[in-house]
This record gives sequence, structure tokens and C-alpha cells, in this order.
Amino acid sequence: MGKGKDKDVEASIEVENYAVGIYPRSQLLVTATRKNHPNLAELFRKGKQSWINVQRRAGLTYVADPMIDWDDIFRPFAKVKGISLGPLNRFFETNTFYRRLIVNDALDGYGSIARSMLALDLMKEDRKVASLPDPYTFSMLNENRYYKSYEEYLFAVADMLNAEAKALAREGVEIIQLNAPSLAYEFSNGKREVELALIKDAIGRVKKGLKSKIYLYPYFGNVAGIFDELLDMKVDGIGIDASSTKLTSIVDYNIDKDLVIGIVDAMNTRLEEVKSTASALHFILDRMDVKHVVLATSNSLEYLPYRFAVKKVSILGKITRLLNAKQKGLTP
Amino acid sequence: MSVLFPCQEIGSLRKPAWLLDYVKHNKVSEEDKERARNDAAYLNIKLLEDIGLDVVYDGEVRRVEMYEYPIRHVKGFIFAGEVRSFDNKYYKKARCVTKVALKNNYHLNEFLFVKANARKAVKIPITGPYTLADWSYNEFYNSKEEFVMEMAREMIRPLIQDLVKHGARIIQIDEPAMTTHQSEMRVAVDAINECTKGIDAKFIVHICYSGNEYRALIPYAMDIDAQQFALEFANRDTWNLGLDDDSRRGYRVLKEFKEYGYSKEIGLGVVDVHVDDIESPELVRDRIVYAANILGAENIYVNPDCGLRTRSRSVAIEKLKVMVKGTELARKAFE
Repeated sequence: MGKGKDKDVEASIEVENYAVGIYPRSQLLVTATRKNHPNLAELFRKGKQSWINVQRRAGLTYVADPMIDWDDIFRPFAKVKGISLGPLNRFFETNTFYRRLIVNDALDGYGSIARSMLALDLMKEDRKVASLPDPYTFSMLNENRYYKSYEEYLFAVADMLNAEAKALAREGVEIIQLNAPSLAYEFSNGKREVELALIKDAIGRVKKGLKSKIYLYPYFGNVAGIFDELLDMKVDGIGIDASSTKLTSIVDYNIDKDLVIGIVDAMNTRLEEVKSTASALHFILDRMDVKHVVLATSNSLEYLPYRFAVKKVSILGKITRLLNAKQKGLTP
Repeated sequence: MSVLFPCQEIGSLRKPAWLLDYVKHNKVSEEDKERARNDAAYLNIKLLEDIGLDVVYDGEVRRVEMYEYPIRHVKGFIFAGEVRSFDNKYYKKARCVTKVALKNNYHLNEFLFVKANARKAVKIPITGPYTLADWSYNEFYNSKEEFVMEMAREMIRPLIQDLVKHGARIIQIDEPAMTTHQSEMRVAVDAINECTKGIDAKFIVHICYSGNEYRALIPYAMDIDAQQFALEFANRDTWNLGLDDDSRRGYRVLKEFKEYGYSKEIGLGVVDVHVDDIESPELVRDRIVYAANILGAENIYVNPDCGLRTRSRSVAIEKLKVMVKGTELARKAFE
């Protein structure tokens, strides 16, 4: 796809898809966690298998662990030496809260925390995607009481995430999406105090020596105004939350990275109309110069009730299939 | 109120275990369940009065919680399922699929019961239009603003009008979501004003856990048609005694209210509803005195940060007792 590209080459590039992040728990698990069920670990594993099956049935290219046993995107990192649990804080403008982590000492003892929390053994035959917080979001939403400077703190977090990402890569995870809501939210609201160059360096540290692809996915804000800087990030792909950033606002860029489009709204139960969404995407992608496209949900599905999240995953698969058919000229 | 630093609760208390067991029981008639709820409400009213509060309600003992309960009584919504708030805590979230309209005054019976049984001033808490809209999925209205204003016009205003007609004089509009989306503050303000305009009652707006220490609220506070803001502060404060800014860091933001010309009452959150540790009366005193030195003693009401349903009844009672003791110490300091 894209302006000036050979049509045969275009046809061979499939649009791919995935839905990564924390998924909602089934009612069974909601009840079990409320009552602290004695077989909770087994129930979580069954719940994960069920979500993996949903993704397979939807025909998603990459399958993700649904992270239903993560209390929030940071909580597992409370196990890192030097980190303790802090108070509850609102997660951006959602009605969901996370526990702020407090960095009290030099970060140490990491490298297998995320891996140990993901049931990668249930996805042996699948192409795999996983997500981690990006170092900037991690640094901004948690609290440093140890490192002398912000830069030192940010880079320590980046090095920790690099080790975590490498462990995932060794397990065959092909794509690691760095969730970067702070980047989008702060830019959108004119609140960013940290230079993008520093953030770029930190993200580069996460990517260093990594065999997997790293995608940077800013969401919860319009990033059209910094899109060219995002393209300069040392990552393999950049994401756009289409409910916050209009695709038309980036149509003129020469995108030499993979482009993740968060096209399925994970914040609203309103279901996307498959035909019109695929047609709109086909229309706009035909006008874009982009290397490779991956469709996704706009963010974690945890903000939806279980059965709506199932529907959204299915819709993501349907939109992608119809779009690919359109790209190949198989359907008008 | 004639007393300095009047004490009030914010709303919910944890329901007694016996009540929960009783109302769940299939073989108990609706009539008997209602009798049990009346008993629990009566006990809560008397408990709060005996502790020494000046303004009371019934601990919201008849309500499921602050979102689901009102939404059950509005046309236009279908419950979609449960969504996590944090850890293993969930709330039911509804989809707005058609035009909203109030079915009935869902607080009337509980209000009439409290009014008939309370000797102290009665303050009824109701969930506000912005929060109800914000915590729902909007599948019907073209914009959030349209949705919020419709909730204000078609649901909350008629509810308030009816409560006032039946004798409500102090109404607390709970808007915990109000400062969540800072870019939507104007909408939230207009919605509250739409609910309250021309109605003869005292209005209090309760906001909590907003994440920005009320800085989004401050520029709008004087525009809102309410006489008091009941806010959460203790959650962000230290437990050190003292009147210095560092010890009272959770309350420093009051200086910004003052700088903005704020001259209304503040319902001052002086006990943290998210921890079991009990504050000392002296700590409560210092928090009140610090706030009174900034905004004027006559403008300070005293309350917990939020409803105490997050704590066991025994912890909640202890916190309220300490709150009253600390308030008495603060009164002495100002005598």
C-alpha cells in the first residue's frame, strides 16, 4: 500500500492485528477474586486459555497473554528490589486506579518479572505479542525517592525494561508494545516537562540489543503534533490511538516504520460497523506512504465488560480480514 | 449553623452483616426486608447523632452504591457488565442507549424516613449528573456535553425538585468524576447549575480522589451554584502534628482557593477513609486549625474524606469519634 509503491508489492503486504494489554476478567474470575478462591492460580490460567482461544478464533495475527492476573500495568514491578508499593492513584482520566510504585533504592533483581507473569507456554504455536509500560510513563506515574536526577531515574527504569523485554524476546515474543499514555496525554494537554530527546534516549535503551520488534504506542491523547518526532524514535513501529488522533492528520507523513492503528475503541461499548470501518481504513491507507500496518484496539480492553471485550476482539478480526480483501482488490 | 466547625458525614457506612444476610434471603418477604432496612437506617441515624455529628443521614444503608442505584431508576440505560475500579474491586457499568428520563424519585422513601427520625440537620447525598454520565458508556447522544446536560435536566433536576418539595433543605451532590477530565470542567459546572438553579436549598458538592488536588476546580468554584465543597484532603496529608505547611501538605492547596477569591464553605476531609489506622484528635485539630487560618473558621465544616463504607463499621465509628473529639479541640483553640 502507499503512494508510488508497486501494486504487486502492495498486494503481498498483509495488514496484521493484535489486541494487547490487560483484558477484563470473566464473571467467574470476578467472583473468585472477590472471594479469594483457593484455586485462584488455576482459574487465572483457565481464564487466560479462554482469552487466547478468543483471539485465535478472531484470527488475530499475534496472540497476547490477557494479563488478567495483573492488578495494573505496574504492579508486578513491585517485586523489583528497590521498589515498594505506594498509594492508589487514578489512571489518567479513567475511573480505574493503580498503585503508585515508590523507588526507594537502586533497581535490581529484575529481568524475568513480566515473563513470569505471562503464560507464554499456552501460546507455543502462536505468533506472540506482549506489552510493557514505556520508560517515560513508568517514570512519570511512579515516584523516585532514590535517584539523584530525573535522567538517572529514567534510564534506570529503561534498563530494567530492556532486561524485561529481552527475557520476553528469548521466549519468542515477536512484538513488544511499549504503552506510552503519558507521552500522548501530556503532549495533548500541554503538560510535558521532559524533553523528547531524553525520552527518545530512554526508549532507545529499552530497544538496545533486542531481537524482537519494539512498538511505541502513545494513547489517551492526540499525538499529531509530535508525530514527526515519534517517527524519529528508535523503535520498529509507532502506534496511533485512532479515537484520539485522526488518521487524516498523519496522512502526509512518509512512515518508514510499522504503523499500529488502534482502530477498535476499547473505551466504549458502541460496536464498530465492520464494513464502514474497513472502507474508511482502505480509503485512507491508500493515500498513506506506510511500510506496514497493524490494526489493534485503542488501548487495553480492561475498560469494557467481559462480553463487550469479546465482541471487540472479534470485530478487530473482521475489520482486518475485510480490509485485507479490499487491499487485494477482492471486494469493492 | 450556630456551632463552630459543624461535623457531618459524607454518605456511606458499611452495611451491617445481619442486614446483608437478611435481605439476600429468598424466604424473607419484601415487607420484612423493608422493616430490616428501616431498622438499619434508624440505627445509623442514631449512631451518627450519638457520636456527635451536627448533620446526619442514614449511611446510605438502602443503596447498592452511588452509580448502580440511581441508574436503575432512569430510563435509557442498560447494564453492560462489571468493570474493574482497582485490584479486585468492580462496579457495574451501564450503556446509555436511548433518551434518558427519571422513572421515579428513588431517594424519596429513604429521605422521608430520615427526616422523620433524625433530630439533627439532615443532608441527603445524591450522585451528580456529570459523574453518572462519565461512568457510563454513551451510545446515544452525539456528544458528552449533550449527554451530561440531558442527565442534569431530565434526571437530577426533577429529582432535586421533588426532594425539596418533600422538605429537603441540604442536598449534597456527589461528583467524584468532576475534575477527572479537566477539559470538561465547564460542562460539569453547567450541569450542576442546571440542576440547582432557582431551587431554595443549601447545595454542597462533594468531590474526591480527583488526582489533581482540585486545581481544576479552583477557577470554577465560585461559578458553581453551591454554598459548600466537601473535599478530600487527609488522604494526601502527613500524620505529623503541626500547623506548618510541610506537616499539612494535604491542605496547602486551600491557599490556592483563597488566592482565587474563594469565600464559600469547605467541608474539610480530616480522616482518611482508605486506611484502618485511626487519626489522633490532635491531628484532626491541627488540620482544622490550619484550614481555618486560611479560609476563616466560620467557613469550615468537618467531615471524613469520603463515605466510610470502605472501612469496617468499628473502624468507621472510631474515625468519626476522633473526628468529633478533634473538632472539639479545634473549637477550644478558637475560643
